[in-house]
Amino acid sequence: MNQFEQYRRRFIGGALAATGAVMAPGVMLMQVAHSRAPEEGVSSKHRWGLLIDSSKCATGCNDCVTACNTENGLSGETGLQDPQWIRKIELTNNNTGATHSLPMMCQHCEHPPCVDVCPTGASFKRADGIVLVDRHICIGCRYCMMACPYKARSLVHEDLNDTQLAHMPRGKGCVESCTLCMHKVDRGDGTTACAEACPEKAIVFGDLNDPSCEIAQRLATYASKEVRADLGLNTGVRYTGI
Amino acid sequence: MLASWFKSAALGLMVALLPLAQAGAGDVPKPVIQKGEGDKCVEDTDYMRRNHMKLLNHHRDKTMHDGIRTKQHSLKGCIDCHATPNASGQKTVLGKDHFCQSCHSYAAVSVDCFQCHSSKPSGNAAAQSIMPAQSTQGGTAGPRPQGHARLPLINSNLTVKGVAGVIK
Repeated sequence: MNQFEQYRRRFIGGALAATGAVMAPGVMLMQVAHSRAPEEGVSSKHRWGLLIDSSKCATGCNDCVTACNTENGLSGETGLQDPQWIRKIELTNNNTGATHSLPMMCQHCEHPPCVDVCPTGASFKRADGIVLVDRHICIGCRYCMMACPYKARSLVHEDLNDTQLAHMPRGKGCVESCTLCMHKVDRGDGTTACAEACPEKAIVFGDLNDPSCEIAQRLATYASKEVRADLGLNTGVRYTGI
Repeated sequence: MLASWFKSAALGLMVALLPLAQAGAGDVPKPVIQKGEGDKCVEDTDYMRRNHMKLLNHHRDKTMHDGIRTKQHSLKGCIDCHATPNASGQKTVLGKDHFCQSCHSYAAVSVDCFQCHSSKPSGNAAAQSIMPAQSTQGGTAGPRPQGHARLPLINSNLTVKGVAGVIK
């Protein structure tokens, strides 16, 4: 090996090392954004949310609701006393007759009224923005159901007779609602059952705080709306096309 | 004088009744403890018998509020290993002679977990088995991440055993 060859090798080695140094932080960021160690708690670095394109959402399609029921072990009944985590809503403009269809679920507010009114502290917001009910503390008083502007919460009226799924404990006498598929979020799936099931890809799940996330990019590009934005709740679920 | 007479009489009565009490204890059938999967539990058996409820309570709050889903002290982990098939072949921890209910009936302590939690193991129970315990010591090492104000106690550097307040 002559001296020139040695210089060449050293140069290439140095260049590779420099590339690694530049690449490594980027790679790390991706890992941090999409999964965390099981022993690591949730953090406010993330704010999970959904973006729902109601112009893609088809009237009569119920796939997101069905997927949610299957994922979380809900019966799928829609009676007055049956728990429903997602409701399909049909909207009609009385002046023009234009119709919209959209799924309505817990909007995972930054300032959730259900948390404000809960007398026991069972209704709470996780650091990553997911609003939940701690059923160990819930006394089933249903104040949160009254406070929620989105009719997102349900009380379980009937005994579930051990039909619950292992990853989704539910029980009679407790209030419950969409958990934004927190078991999937904690697992690092990076999606929800409803978003996976939507045939039109009208539901996008992601981190509102991460500019590299599709949801954040779409929110930055297109006009989106919060339902009842006048309440100033800063919802985690946003809609386009309404 | 009278008092000492009373004392000796009471003592005599107790001694006389002792065999009766022992005979009575024998009437209650001992719990059937079926062996779980794997070689050993995540903690010593004696420790678990006295303190499993404390570990579970501690772990449930961490999971619920902080999304920490470590498997060592999770209820799901207990069920995955300790569920045994019932008459219809369904693995469960509830029912006569099954792991949870057998002991709880004997001790006359109601077990409320399964009003909400499933008593059956999750689908791929075998794959999730945690019995070959990777780190059985120490429990939750390190400080708890900041997050919820409900559990200030756990914010300190305590181990699970410390929190449980156990004399071993």
